[in-house]
Amino acid sequence: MKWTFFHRMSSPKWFYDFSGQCLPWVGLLALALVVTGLTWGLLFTPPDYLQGNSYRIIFLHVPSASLAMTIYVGLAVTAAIGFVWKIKLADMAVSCLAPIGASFCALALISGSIWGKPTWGTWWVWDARLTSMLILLFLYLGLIALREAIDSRETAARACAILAMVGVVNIPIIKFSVDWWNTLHQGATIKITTESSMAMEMLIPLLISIAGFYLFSLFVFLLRLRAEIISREQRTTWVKALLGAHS
Amino acid sequence: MYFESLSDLFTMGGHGPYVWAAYGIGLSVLVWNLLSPVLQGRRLASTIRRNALRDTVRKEHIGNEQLKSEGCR
Repeated sequence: MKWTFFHRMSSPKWFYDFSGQCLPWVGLLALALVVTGLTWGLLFTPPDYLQGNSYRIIFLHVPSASLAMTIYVGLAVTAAIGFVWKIKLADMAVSCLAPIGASFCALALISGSIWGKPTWGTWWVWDARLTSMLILLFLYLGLIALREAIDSRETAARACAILAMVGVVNIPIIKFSVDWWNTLHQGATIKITTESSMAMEMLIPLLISIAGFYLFSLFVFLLRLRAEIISREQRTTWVKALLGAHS
Repeated sequence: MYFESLSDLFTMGGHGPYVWAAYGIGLSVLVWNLLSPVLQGRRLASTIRRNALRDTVRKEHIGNEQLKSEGCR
C-alpha cells in the first residue's frame, strides 16, 4: 500500500497535477504569514534594550539562515533517494532546490553582514559560524555549476547527488559552530528543549516570519519543479496536450 | 505602531539605513524567487508550442513531397 503511493508520487505527471491543486493554498498562506511576520517585526515590536532597532533584521535573518540549512538537508536527502532508486523526479527536485537554497543562504549572509555593522562594528569576521555559512553558499553554487558543466543528464544527476551528500557534513558544523568555538556570532535564540531566550512579543512575530518563509520556499519550489517537469517531459503526450501543442 | 512619527520610522534611531537596506534586499530575494520560475515556465511553454508547430509544418511538407513523387511515378 505504502509502496504504490511512493511510486505514484514519483511520477512526474501525478506530481504535476497534485502540486497544481496545493499551489494556491500554499501561496496564499505564505503571503499572509510573510506579510504579517515582517510588518509586525518591523513596526509593532519594541526595540531591543541593547541593540536598539538594528535587531529588527532578525525577522529576515533567522528565517533565511534556517531555510538555507533546512533546504540543504532536504536537497541531500532527496539526492540520496534519487541516487539509490534512480528516480527522475528526485533529481529534478535537487536541481530546483539549489537556486532557492543559494538565494536564502546569500540573504542570510548579507542581512547578517548589515546587522553586524551597527552591532559588532564590522561587516564581516572569519569566525566559525560565518565561514561555515559561506561554505554552504559555495556548496550551493558548486551544485548549480556542476549541473551546468555536465551534458549527460544521468551523469549530472549522479555527480550532483554525490556532491550534495558529501556536503551535508557542513550542516552540523554550522549548527554547532556557536557551541564548539568562541564565535562573535551569538548562540541559538530559539531552543526546542529549553525556554527560548527571547521576549514573547518578539518571539511570536519571529515564529510567524519563519513559518511564512518556509511556506514561501515550498511555494516557489513547487513553481520551479513544475517548470522543470514540463521541460524534461516536453516530448510526452500529456505535456503536449496540457500546453495545447499538437503535432 | 511602535514608532511615533514617519521620520522616526525611517531613521530608526540611526539604524534606519541598515534595517531598510536589509529589508530591501530581502524583498528583492523573495521577488526573484517568485519571478524566475514564472518567466522560465512561460519561455518554456512558448518554445514547446513553437517546436510542435514547426514539426506539424514539416510533416505536412514531407507528406506533400511524397504525394508529388508518387504522382510522378
